[in-house]
Amino acid sequence: VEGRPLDERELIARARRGDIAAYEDLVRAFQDVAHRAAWLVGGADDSDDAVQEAFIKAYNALPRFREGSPFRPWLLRIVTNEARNRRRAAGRRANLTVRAIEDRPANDAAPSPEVAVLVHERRQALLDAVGRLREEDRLVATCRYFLDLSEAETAMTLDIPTGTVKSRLSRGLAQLRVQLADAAVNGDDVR
Amino acid sequence: MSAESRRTLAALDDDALEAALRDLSSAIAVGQPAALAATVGARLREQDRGRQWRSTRRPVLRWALVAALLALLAIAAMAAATGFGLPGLRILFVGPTASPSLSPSASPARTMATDDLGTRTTLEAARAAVHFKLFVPDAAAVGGATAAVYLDSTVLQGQVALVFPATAGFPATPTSPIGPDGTAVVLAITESNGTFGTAYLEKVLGPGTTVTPVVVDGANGFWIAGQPHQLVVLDALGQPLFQTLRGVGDVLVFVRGGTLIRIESGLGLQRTLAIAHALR
Repeated sequence: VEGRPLDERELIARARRGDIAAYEDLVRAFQDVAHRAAWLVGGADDSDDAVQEAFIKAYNALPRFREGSPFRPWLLRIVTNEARNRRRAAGRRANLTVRAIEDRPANDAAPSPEVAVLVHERRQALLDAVGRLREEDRLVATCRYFLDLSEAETAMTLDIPTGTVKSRLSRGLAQLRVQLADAAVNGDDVR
Repeated sequence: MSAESRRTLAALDDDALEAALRDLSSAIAVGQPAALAATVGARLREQDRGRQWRSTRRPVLRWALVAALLALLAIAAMAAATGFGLPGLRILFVGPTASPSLSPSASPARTMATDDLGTRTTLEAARAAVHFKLFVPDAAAVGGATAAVYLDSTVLQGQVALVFPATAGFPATPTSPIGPDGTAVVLAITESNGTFGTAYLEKVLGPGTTVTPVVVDGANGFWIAGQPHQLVVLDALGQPLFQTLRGVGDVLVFVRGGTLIRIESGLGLQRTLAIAHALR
């Protein structure tokens, strides 16, 4: 049909043949999830540069992309590696923060200020606890909960078996519960 | 955090914790992505122009490479003639021949860098977890010492570190740092699926380091001396990977059968090459 948008496979096929305009369409289609992944894995400081570099590397790696396999986890593997490498090179942590309730899109009636404070501090405590997980467990949790990837997509993104995704997720949740329980017993912030 | 929030979080069961994590996803402050398509497209077009330019000069480059290879062979012949090398090894020195070694007066209380070391495991488990051939030195080459094995699964296709503690048959050097288990570390061998990009090598090395090309059993490699702290290699996808060095000593890096091998020791070039030669 004349004028219909090209689907993902057609765009990939064209990009593999050197059609940069087709690749620009792929960039537009995936830049939001790529940016989110880079931010969550590498932190805010370098996320734009990490995503741009990852898209360049992905284009150059397209000849190695297996035709018919899902593009999103393949791309996210490159993005997360790039973001993680940059974070390691800079010797910093991702240091994620939670938005204030009032900054979020208003879907429901606004909570009272007291409730908003409690919800915000719980979310930040939970996010900090995730940040203290071992890196391999944190990456799996990030893919599953914060990027909303399936187990299979998480496995492809991190290049590990799905069984390992399950075991790391289970271990990560257990570790989170230990951290939260310790904080309740010791009356301290989550460690 | 308030006591009420602590109690609420501690009371979450697994299902509630998962729900809380999914709810948290939409609350994480993530900035707006930049409009990348035009920038990426412009860079790729520039890259294509560069490739076309290079392809028109390929014959000239080919002749330049042949000339460089001949020069290397001549230097190798000179090195062999002067008796430098070990049995079975051909070592090509290009550039500086004086390798600064680590100061013998370095503090013995230094601790080994354990960043990105991964988790302790067994050799069998590490072999099963990685996607490359894992090499281990013959016991005789390391005085019978047994390595502590660490697996970093966050590296693409896995990364394994073999950390050799000092023993009576494999004594500590003046530069041996203290390892995670409290004993001096003589040798650290780190292996992954990848290679090294010469373009990256000198970028992250400090001014006090020297990089000397070497050949280990027919494979190109580099001897990096002078307390390097970080190394950039290329992972299985060809992406640069920043590696934190363990602070055990100088570094020998080379590729064997697709496995990128990094040997850190304070043993000096020749003994380190002997260990590389004994990898099976």
